[in-house]
Amino acid sequence: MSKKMKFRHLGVLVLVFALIAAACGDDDTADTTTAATTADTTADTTADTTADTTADTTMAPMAFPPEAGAWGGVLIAAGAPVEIRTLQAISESVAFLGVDQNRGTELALEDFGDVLGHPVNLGTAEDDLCLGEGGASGATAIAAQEGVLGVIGTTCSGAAFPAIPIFHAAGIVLISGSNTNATLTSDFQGNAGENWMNNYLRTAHNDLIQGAAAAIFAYDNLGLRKMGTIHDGDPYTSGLAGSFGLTFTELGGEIVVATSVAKEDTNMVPVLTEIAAGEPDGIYFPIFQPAGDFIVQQVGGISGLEDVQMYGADGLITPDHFSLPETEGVYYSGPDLGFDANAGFTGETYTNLVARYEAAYGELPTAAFHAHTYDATMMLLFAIESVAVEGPDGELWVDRLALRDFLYNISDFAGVTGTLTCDEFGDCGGNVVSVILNLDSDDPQAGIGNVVFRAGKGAGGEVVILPLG
Amino acid sequence: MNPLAATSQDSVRSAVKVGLLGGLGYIFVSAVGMVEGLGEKNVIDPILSLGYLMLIWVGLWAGHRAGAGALPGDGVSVVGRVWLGIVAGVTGGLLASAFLIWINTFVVREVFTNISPALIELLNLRQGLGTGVAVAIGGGALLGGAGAAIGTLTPLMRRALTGSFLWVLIVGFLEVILSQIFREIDLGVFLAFLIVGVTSWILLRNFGDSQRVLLGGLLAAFVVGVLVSQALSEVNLGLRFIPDFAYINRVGGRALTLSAAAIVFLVAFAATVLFDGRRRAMRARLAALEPAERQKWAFGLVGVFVGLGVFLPMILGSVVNELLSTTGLFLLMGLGLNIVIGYAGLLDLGYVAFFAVGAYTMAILTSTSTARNWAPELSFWEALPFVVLAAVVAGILVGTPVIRMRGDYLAIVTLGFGEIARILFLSEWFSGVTGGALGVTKIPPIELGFYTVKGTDTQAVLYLVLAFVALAAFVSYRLQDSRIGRSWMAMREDEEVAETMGVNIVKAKLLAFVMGAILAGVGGALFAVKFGTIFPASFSIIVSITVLVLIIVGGMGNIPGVAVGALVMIGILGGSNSSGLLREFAEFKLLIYGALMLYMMLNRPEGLLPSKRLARELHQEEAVQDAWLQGEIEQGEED
Amino acid sequence: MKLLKLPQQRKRRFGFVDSFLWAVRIGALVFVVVGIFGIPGVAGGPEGSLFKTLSGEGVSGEAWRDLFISGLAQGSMYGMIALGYSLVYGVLGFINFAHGEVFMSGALVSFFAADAFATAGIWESQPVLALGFTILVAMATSTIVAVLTERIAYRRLRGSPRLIPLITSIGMSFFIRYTFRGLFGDSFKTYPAAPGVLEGRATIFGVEILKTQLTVIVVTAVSMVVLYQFVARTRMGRAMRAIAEDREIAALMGVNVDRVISLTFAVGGAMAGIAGVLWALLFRQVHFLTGFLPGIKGFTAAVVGGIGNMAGAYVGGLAIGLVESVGPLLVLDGWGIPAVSQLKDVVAFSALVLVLIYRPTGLLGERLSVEERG
Repeated sequence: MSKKMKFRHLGVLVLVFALIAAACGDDDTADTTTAATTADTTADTTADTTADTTADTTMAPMAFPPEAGAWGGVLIAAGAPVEIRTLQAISESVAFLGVDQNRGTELALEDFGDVLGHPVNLGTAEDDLCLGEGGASGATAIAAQEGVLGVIGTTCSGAAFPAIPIFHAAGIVLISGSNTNATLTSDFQGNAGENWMNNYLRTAHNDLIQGAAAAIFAYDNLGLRKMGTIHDGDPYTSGLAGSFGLTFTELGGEIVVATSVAKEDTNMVPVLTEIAAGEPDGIYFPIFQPAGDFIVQQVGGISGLEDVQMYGADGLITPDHFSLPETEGVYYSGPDLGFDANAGFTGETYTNLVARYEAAYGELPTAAFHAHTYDATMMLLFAIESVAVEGPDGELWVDRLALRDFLYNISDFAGVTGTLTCDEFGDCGGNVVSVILNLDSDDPQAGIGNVVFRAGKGAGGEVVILPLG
Repeated sequence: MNPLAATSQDSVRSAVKVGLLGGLGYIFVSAVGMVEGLGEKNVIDPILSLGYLMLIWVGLWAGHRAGAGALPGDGVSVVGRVWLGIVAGVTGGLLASAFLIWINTFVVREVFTNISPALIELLNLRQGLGTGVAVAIGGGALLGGAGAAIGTLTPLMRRALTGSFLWVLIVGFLEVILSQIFREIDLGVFLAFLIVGVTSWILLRNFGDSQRVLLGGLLAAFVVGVLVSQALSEVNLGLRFIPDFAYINRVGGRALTLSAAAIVFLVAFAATVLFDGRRRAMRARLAALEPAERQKWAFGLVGVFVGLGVFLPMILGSVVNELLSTTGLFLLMGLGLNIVIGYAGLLDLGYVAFFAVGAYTMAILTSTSTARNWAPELSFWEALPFVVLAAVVAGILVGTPVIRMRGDYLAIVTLGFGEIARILFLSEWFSGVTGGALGVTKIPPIELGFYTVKGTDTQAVLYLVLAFVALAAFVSYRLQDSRIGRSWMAMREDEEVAETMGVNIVKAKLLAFVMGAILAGVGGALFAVKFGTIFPASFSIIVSITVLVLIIVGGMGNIPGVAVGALVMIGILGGSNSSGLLREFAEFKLLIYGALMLYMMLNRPEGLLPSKRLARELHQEEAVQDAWLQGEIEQGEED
Repeated sequence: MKLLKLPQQRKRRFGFVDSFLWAVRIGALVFVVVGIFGIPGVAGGPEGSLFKTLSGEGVSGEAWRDLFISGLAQGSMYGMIALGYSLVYGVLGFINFAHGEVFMSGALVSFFAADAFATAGIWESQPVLALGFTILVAMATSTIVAVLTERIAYRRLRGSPRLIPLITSIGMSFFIRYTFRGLFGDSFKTYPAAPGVLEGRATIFGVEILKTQLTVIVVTAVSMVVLYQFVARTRMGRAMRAIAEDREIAALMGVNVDRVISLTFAVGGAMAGIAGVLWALLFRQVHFLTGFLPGIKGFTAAVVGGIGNMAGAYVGGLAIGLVESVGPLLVLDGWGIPAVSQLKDVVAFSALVLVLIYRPTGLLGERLSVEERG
């Protein structure tokens, strides 16, 4: 046989067996049930021996562990930790967001303490790289570990898209403190988002609310009629700018120029000139640093934009940005941070939380979402504690589906970000958005706290204006 | 005679220089944040954290270099070498101490953000400056001496020692993966391995000459193996006690227990020593084989790979499978770029453009998202021909303007094209089609008729990727020896001469670009399906550079080299957009990338698994020297 | 038997490639002209950007002026960076990808000097002294980094096939970039605002220019002139030119090749260092990623102007800077394309392709050594 024939045969072999093997491939869901069933068999023996000795129970002794639900369950041995994980963007340019959120989680762990006598273990913090690939590989790594009940993350909505199905296949709930993309939950009109799955929740606000609220403020409060918008090619900023534009136009305003920069751009003269050509009253630029810094610094030098009202968003609500003198007089929309009056689930006040944050990490919170992540972690731990069934020898049994159901049914949960109630699509956040005004660049914290407008979500999903503070 | 006196002045001086380099290494590793950043992860519990390991490695290296640097004519004894090692270690330790004193006295955190109080604590072993200095100098001496001593061992001992320690590290690092494998391995796969392995061995031994029997037998073995693996896949082998024993829960992640580490070390050590003789015998036998015999063994090797490809995904667990499928995608791209650069010599730095074209074409044509209601919702297989078509068009569009351009101009222009492609996919202008910054979501899974390959099904995805990779490898292999392949190589060597010899340069160059584009396009299509959503941020220039580096580091121009490159760069280190096996190093991944590239290019530019020709080309001078030394050529002759 | 087709026997057919290239040449010209001037008399057709300005909408006259100056300033900095690429390519024949990081290192390290001056008040009270010293620090840093890269990595690779030094330089660029990240963190370093004397605008020849931009343009022009004098008049400069022409003959003539090559790197590094401080003056924020894109644009500029050619680097830089700044609004806007500023890199790289199609050796022609020309 010639060489040619031989290789063709091999090629056939390869393809045939790849297809056959793929057909019989293991599904990830099989793994969790195996864990559950093996857990069952090992636990049953102990249950049998102790069942006889338990005498003083007021009800008939229940078999431990109980039968697992559709998503399986986790048996935690006596003294063993409760396993939860984090999947945030902790590297590269968005590290300030992800690291900030991980700190929120760590503080929550400190406050909540043990779950029914079992310590809580965060394991290795996974990196979502603010990209789909990172979300997928991080989710796979977490789902491969045993007994993970819930994950706090992701930072960027883009990373959540592939992560959610991977977690769903393993029965793990994912709660995010900073994803805002609307298709991950719903459109507030009762329609599930395209990318929603029933293991996903979030405590951050939905993009639809922020864009709309920001536009209402611009049109009604600031009286702006012609605006330019700038985004930076990021799904978040692009979505926000888009939703702003929609509402602003609905109200009767005009978006004269909708353009964008690249994240690494430094020379903003061209883009600002492009906007100046439309003669706007204001510019909405919901982008991140450093592009946002460059914009405010260079807008003064563009003829035609000397009196334009600058209007940013939460990507720029950082002490760093607020200490630039050019940010005085600039408005910023973002999740409401007026938490000072709030006390979290364990009674810890937000003010105290910030103080502890600074003491532990040497700096004030670097981004806006640590508090939302604190609440998300609290919710998760509270839910685990509530659905866990204690065994006779100090074990714990947690049914995954029961955990998810409990989370989705949470209402009036005391969080530092406000009272949280989860709707049928996983939007738990207060969805309160505020606009702040930076008046003094020497006191950035004062600027971050200077709320001039607050809005939230009404019953029908529309934007309702709320009283300040 | 005082053995120490035998060490010459030069050796001592070079030892001091090496020591200073070692000290600089200590400072570098500390200042860049590796000691602190990796300090949480315990490799061996409780004594060896990753952070400290980095410092230890620096010390050992310095000692080894110093000891080995003694000139051969010195007649330097073991003691002499150890002395040199100690000299180097102490010098390095002194430099390190100076650094320690400096950071203990002055607060430099304003400038050097990673020289934090936590780092100082770690370096001082939490005891204070005195301890820190003592450890630096004393530890330096110890490590230096040890490093040099290792150098004096026989090659076998050295290999055994370092190899065994490496195994301990590997077992420590790969905790998540190994735990998963041991936890989930089932009886079916194990038996399948046995069946296929034993059958193949028997067949090759006894029926090696009859191709028909061989193929038929192997086929039968595979079928039986697959059936068995599926039938018994629910029966767990119950090996979970192994990872439960070997690892212990710690804050930074599970670490290897001391006893488990010792066991791994001893087993690896024993294995290396005991099987050394066997290994050499095997090598000699292989070298002495006749070509016909060798072909049989090559055939067997390919069969082994096919077998591994079929059965390994069943046991490797989801994490490794996911990683391998990403590696496979990069391997697909690597094969394509290998055609463009390796065969045809066209330096394309904007390769990601073709990847993006493939991904977006597949995504737009198959997505069920309502954002794009005008687009048809084809199936994967229906859309695939369009992907190929789009890739061909892209290849022609990129290739034609650059046909007359010289090597490096070609590089920067293709780089520009890559960026142009990404920005256009991201732009508002085309956002009606491409989704702009919001990308394309809801890309459906692949229907195979009898099975649905979902993106989350790591095993099935891996099989699919492997199938396409095998196809691409086959195509590349055939192209190599074909007429067009030889035209490419002629063109690569000297374009003018090739043209004179009758090669149609235009057709050759365009064909190279088109072939490369098709492979990258298919890779992009698989990428889109695997993740279910695509965003323009995934198609940056760094992907092009990653693919380029992987074929160079692996060994350009030859297919196994590209595979090795992909495994090392993507699988182990992690590619541009993903993390590899070494997740702990994620923060320093790109730094290690750079250092690895530098090391490879300066010491082994032909790559890890080079084609013989390339290796000889690049080490021409050394080859001539060697030949002269061995008396193969007379002095004055040129190769 | 027709075994060989000798060159003169081949008919140079007007093949596929030629028609494609001519299509591109004509198409590009039409595209640009229509974008600027519009199609007269076509209802609803594209209104050229010039037409829009003249009719009162669109970009105003002052805005064009500002764009132009901003492009010049940006381009001057690109030119300074391009110089490093051009010199190294002319002598050694490879793209030194690490040069972008050389630029970044100067900008990043001199921040600490500038910050110290600002805290001490010297930045405002003695701006010339402070700025000058900051520039010196940047020059020193960049030069050291550039020379080190040459000594550690590139010296050993002379004579290797060109892919090897290229990959080495990519590795070097990663290494430098992430070392600096490790050393100095990944937060942005914000330079003090331009000293009071450089605030606001100045009027030169009746044109109002931002003083910072004026400083950039002037400093780069002066640096170029000084460099030119250095290369033309001094012995070291002559040695550089000799090596750039023919390395072997220069060595035979007694030129210490190693030292002069190091000098070439040093000169490129110094220019990049100056560019670093100017960049910081204009844009205020630097961090470890600052060098990536300017590095790529720098090499693009070097190729556009003519590789190996010092004047070419400067001209190429100015060209890229202007095209990038003015191009999108001038050409693309006229076609009604939305969000044109997003496409400015597309314009810059398209300009590169077009220049090479119209004039394959770059605007001012390339200047390579004998070794590289062959």
